[in-house]
Amino acid sequence: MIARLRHAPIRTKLRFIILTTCFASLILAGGALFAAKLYFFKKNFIADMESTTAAIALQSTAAADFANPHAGEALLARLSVKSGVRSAAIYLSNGTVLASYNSLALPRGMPPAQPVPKQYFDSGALNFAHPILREGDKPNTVEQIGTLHVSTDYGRQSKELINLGIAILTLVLAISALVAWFISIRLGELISAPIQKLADTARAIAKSNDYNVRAEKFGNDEVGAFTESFNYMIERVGTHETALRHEIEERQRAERELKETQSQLIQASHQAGMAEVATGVLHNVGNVLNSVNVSAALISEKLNGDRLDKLRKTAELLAEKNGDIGEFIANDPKGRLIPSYLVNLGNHLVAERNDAVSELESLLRNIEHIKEIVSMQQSHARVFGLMERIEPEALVADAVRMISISLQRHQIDLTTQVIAPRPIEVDRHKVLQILVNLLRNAKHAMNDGDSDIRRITVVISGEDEKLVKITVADTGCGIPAENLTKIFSHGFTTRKGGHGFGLHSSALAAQQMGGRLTVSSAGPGTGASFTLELPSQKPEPSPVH
Amino acid sequence: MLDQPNHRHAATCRAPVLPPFRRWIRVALVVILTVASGFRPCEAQDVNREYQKKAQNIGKLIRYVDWPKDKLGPGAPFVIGIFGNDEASDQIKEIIGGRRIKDRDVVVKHCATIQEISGCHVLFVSRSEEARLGKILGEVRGDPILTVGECDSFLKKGGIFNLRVILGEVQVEINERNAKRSNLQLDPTLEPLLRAQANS
Repeated sequence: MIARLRHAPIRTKLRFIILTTCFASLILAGGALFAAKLYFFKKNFIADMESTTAAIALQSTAAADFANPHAGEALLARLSVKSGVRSAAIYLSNGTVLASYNSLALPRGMPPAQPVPKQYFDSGALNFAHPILREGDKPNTVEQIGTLHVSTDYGRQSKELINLGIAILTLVLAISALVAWFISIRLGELISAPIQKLADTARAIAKSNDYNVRAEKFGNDEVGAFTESFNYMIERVGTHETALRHEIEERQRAERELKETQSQLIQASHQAGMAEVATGVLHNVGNVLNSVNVSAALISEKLNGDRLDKLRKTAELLAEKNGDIGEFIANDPKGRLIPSYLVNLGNHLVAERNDAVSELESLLRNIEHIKEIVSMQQSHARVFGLMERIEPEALVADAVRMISISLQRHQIDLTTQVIAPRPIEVDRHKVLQILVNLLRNAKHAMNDGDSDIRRITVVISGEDEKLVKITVADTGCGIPAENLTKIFSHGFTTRKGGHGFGLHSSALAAQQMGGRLTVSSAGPGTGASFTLELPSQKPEPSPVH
Repeated sequence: MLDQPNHRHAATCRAPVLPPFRRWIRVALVVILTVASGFRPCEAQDVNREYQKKAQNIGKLIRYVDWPKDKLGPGAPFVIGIFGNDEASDQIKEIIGGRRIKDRDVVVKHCATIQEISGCHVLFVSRSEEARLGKILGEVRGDPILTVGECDSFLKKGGIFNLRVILGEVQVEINERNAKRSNLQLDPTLEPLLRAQANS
């Protein structure tokens, strides 16, 4: 019932509440009144009957004493005016009936003698018995000479009263229900109409999303306050909705801009990457080109000599003495010098040819090395960003090969020691870039220093199973203590023509691979040692700072 | 009962069957012997029974009457005078003589002359004195003497209570006016009797 009512309209609930309350009140009040009425009816009925029975019993003394049935019946006839009396009888002490009233209705179980006043039920009727007493022979004594029995129809009367009460209560309930129904219709409108209006407004707002709609306020009661709050809330929702819409639009615009920026950044980084690769390649190629340039210069120098001009002049001189060459060679002082000159010239030309061939061979080797560098770079570029399991000594060998010409030219010894060979899972290109940078920096440090020992030592070690260390130590100019903390900063360099980019990018690359790049130096003139720590296994990706 | 044998005991207690006339003789003898053993003259028995009842009623009537204090002092006995035949006097004496009513002794005396009436509180005049009833009642008129009679004209002639036999039962008739005249106070419970008497 309650569950069904929960989904009913407020108007129905209000009617139900009013009617239920009205019914409950009426039933309680009517029931209480009726119970009181019944209680007092019984009490008054019994009191009335007791007094009536006592009075009749008292008046019956002489009639019973003289056994006068006419007097007894005359007395009992007075009970006819009592509506509750059904029958009555005067019994004498010997048990005989002296007189009776409505004898047909006398209860069968009526006891003939009753020494004290008493009520008793018999045959469903409430009966009263009262002794008929006279003054005894002895002082202060009484003698019972009979008994008066009065049988009442209390049950019928109480039943009639109950029926009447139920009928009245039913009638009152029916009329009250009718009145309460009409009142509930009128009064219910006072409550339900504003709520209904509010609900309609809320529904309309939900349907149209128009937050400019406001609910109509009907009064200053709780519903009125609720309507005000609702309108205020709708106003706030509208404001927030507008702000939210603006914010969404702003975010969408920012998102578009972000995408565009991201695209630009990707392109820029791509270009930067390409530039970085190109820088590396050009750097290595440039190193080799120095040798190429030297060789080319030497060849050019050899070819630009004046021996060929002297040979051409000697040939022109011989051409002038055409026909008389023997004479000229045999007798002329200049002619006599020509054979020895030609011999010397031939020897020089052979020597120059040998030098040029040697330089050309060197040039060819350098050009082949450039091709190898480019080819190697292309092979590394293809696997850029790929983490792979590599033997560290192989990477070191590649790096050394890429810079070996330059080291040879600068007469720098390079020693590689492998203490703990263990594969590493890294980006080949990045490690190679780091190693080439470290070796090139070591070479520059060696050139800047004045040490007699020009040696670079590369040590591959691994104290920890999870870590592999590649240390590049040189005997160069060393690093002052104040520079140790900023040597990896972007743009920091102590070398003329340097960019401050190599160590910074190397440190970043080491971090990206889960490793790190550290430096140690005892100070200027003591050399420096760079240590690249790389994980043996694939590391978790770490953010790039 | 004899004609309806007990079937349950028929096999063991069957009575001997007698000839019809002998059986009737036996019944007649039983009836004769029974009647003869308790025989009294009917009239005498009725008279005795009547006066017994009347004596009882006189005793009861005393309870419903109050005498003036100067007539009946504290502790004084009720004196019941009987004017008339001796049989009534004997029965009344036997029934209520010597008893105590309303905490007083009851004295019954036979009044042979009118002069003997003066000390009585109750005077019973038997029907044998009907001829001089007027004179007797006239003598006690106004005196606080409860007069009880048994003649039809007793109340008319100034009596207060008349004990009348109707269908073998003694009925009490009352003249309230005569009682007041005699300065006797009747109990209010006698009112239904007066009303019934008026309606009869």
